[in-house]
Amino acid sequence: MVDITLLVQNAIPWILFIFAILGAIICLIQKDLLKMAVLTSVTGFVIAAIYQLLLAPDVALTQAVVGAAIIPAFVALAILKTREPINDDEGGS
Amino acid sequence: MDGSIFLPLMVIIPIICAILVNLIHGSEKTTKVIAVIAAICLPIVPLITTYSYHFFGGYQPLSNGGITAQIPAALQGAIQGSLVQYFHPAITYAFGPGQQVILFVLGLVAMCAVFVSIAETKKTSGVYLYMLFMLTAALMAFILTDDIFNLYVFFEIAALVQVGLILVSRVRGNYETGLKYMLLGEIGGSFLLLGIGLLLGLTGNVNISDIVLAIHTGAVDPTNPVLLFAAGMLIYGWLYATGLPPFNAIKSEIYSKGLPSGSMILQSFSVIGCIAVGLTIIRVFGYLPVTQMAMLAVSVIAMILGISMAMVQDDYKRIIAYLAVGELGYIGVGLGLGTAYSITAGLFQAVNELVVTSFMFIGFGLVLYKTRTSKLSNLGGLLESMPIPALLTILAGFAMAGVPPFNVFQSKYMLVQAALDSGLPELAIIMIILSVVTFLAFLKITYAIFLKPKPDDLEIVSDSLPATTVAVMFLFFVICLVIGLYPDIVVGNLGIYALSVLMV
Amino acid sequence: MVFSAVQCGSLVTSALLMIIGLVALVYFDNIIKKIIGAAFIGDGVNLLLISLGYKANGIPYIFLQNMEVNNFLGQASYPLPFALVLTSIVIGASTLAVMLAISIVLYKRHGTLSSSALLNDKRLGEDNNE
Repeated sequence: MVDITLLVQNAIPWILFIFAILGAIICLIQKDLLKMAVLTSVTGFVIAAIYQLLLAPDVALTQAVVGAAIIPAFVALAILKTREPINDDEGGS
Repeated sequence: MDGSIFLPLMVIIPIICAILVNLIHGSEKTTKVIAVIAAICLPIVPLITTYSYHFFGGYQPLSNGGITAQIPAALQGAIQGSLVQYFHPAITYAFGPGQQVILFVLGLVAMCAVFVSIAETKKTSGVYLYMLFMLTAALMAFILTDDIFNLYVFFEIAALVQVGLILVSRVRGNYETGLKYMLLGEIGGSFLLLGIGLLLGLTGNVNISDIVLAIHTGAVDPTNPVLLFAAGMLIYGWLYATGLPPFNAIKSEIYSKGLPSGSMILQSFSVIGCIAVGLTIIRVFGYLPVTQMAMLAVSVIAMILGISMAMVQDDYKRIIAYLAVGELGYIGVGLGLGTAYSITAGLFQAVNELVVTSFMFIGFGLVLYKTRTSKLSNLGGLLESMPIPALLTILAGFAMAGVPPFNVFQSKYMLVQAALDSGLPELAIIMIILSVVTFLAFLKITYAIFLKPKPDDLEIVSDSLPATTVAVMFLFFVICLVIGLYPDIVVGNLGIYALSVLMV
Repeated sequence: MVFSAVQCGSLVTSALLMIIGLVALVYFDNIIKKIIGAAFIGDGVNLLLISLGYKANGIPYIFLQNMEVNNFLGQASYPLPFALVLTSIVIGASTLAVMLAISIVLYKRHGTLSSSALLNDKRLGEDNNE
């Protein structure tokens, strides 16, 4: 039993590293932009977890808020704004 | 009263003023009053500050007897006699004679930019003034700071504000240019931070003096290849800040999209960024000849590219923008040669360029104000409608090309001499030829705008020119002439700065 | 400097994040994808800085009441890079916000998010005032 716990503990960082990279790649190859915005939070959150493992708890807190909540929200807002069709009398200067 | 308490005020005054004018931008009169008062403070504060260091939070190096009370006794013994007692635990601002000259001239330019923007815009915009003051604060901190991460933070602030300045200018294509610049800037800034991170990993410090100390006392292996990589990253950041190739095209686009008062501060960012990041590279990596060779090579390419691209344009805003970027190459040559004399010459050229390029941007801004067009082929005969400003603008062009009684002649002369002293006569010849070509480019603009007969379809706005702008041009003209006739008042101080850079 | 295995892994991750970001910045046509790529570069650099302060078998640098000073100094991670990263995260987020705002304005003007259509437009070469 001890061995398995130790193994899991040792494996956690590596799983997180793989998740961070895969999250970034999968997020960028999405066709649907809104899905991409949501997937941005995966990398942000996994990086926050890595910070926690690397003994930086306060940075992990900040990154969890900024990377997993604020940045995806900004991106999603921008995508929603750029989805609506533009009226010809207003835009197109 | 001790004059050293004014040192942090050089950064704090513009920041506070920026926040204030942004908060109360509804009330136009108060905004104007606050902006004018703060603008007058900008050049005065460096003059009354005494040469000193400022340690934020009062944390001095332990060798000065800083915070010894809080350190356990067991550690005291280990720290005594080791390098650690010389390290700076807090952000440190250093202020010496060279910094005084540069900050005074920068303050003057910023003050004039604020005055011009108040005079030329019909409704004073608090947001615009906010950006002018914020960029000024960042530039002041660039010169003062001895902390490489502080440099990076202000670098990012300056890059953001720069984009803001061109977004408000209402010139066509400004948003596209802003986005392009920010995408490039994200790479440039990240790479600069990467270089800083590698230096931090190797030396455990972000204070430039401490990094230099650690490298030169052998605490860090100077031949470590990671250091070379960090040097490369810092040089990349330097290229981005200065707008040397490969960034020269985007930088000149940025200049041409700004308002005249904005362009003055934008070009100050390039000049100050060039010397701040460049001197950091020389201080830290001065022992690696390859970094100096790289700086020299890029600078020469920048000079040649800038002037040759300026010659083929038909838009005078573009011509000045390319010339301004090309002139930055001269500063890079001065820094890249790496001797005390050449660094002094480079700094002298930087100070002159702050004045002369701003002078040109205002002068041609007036032409735009009068005619609302920037195509050379549509212009002509403006000498009759604005004789005095036209004359001053032509003189500004002569000053930039290095015609004798003006200041740039002195600094280019010093640069040529420094190149000859370093055994590079080819470089001296290139610089002289390029000065002549710059002069020719100016003759072309002068002829096309002022002397050529006026085209029939050109409409000249009949408003009288803003008196403030003409007064500012006179001020710049006087500065150019005074520094040109008595270069010693500037060169001596800058020489001390250059020596302190080379000193370990 | 000797790195532990976890530190090496996080350095490699940070390098890969930077590369992914650069590739996205260069090869994707959509502006918002480019912007997110730029954000990934920043994340990668931050991760590099954080992994510099890590100490194998260490403890976080938070000093609690019941700790021995010398034990703490021997085991605690190096906090200077962490302080820098806090600033850097906020700078990255604000830069991203400004870039997204500009791209919204560009969409309203031109009706497209494709960078080849927006940034290489020949008409933009002229600098005349509007």
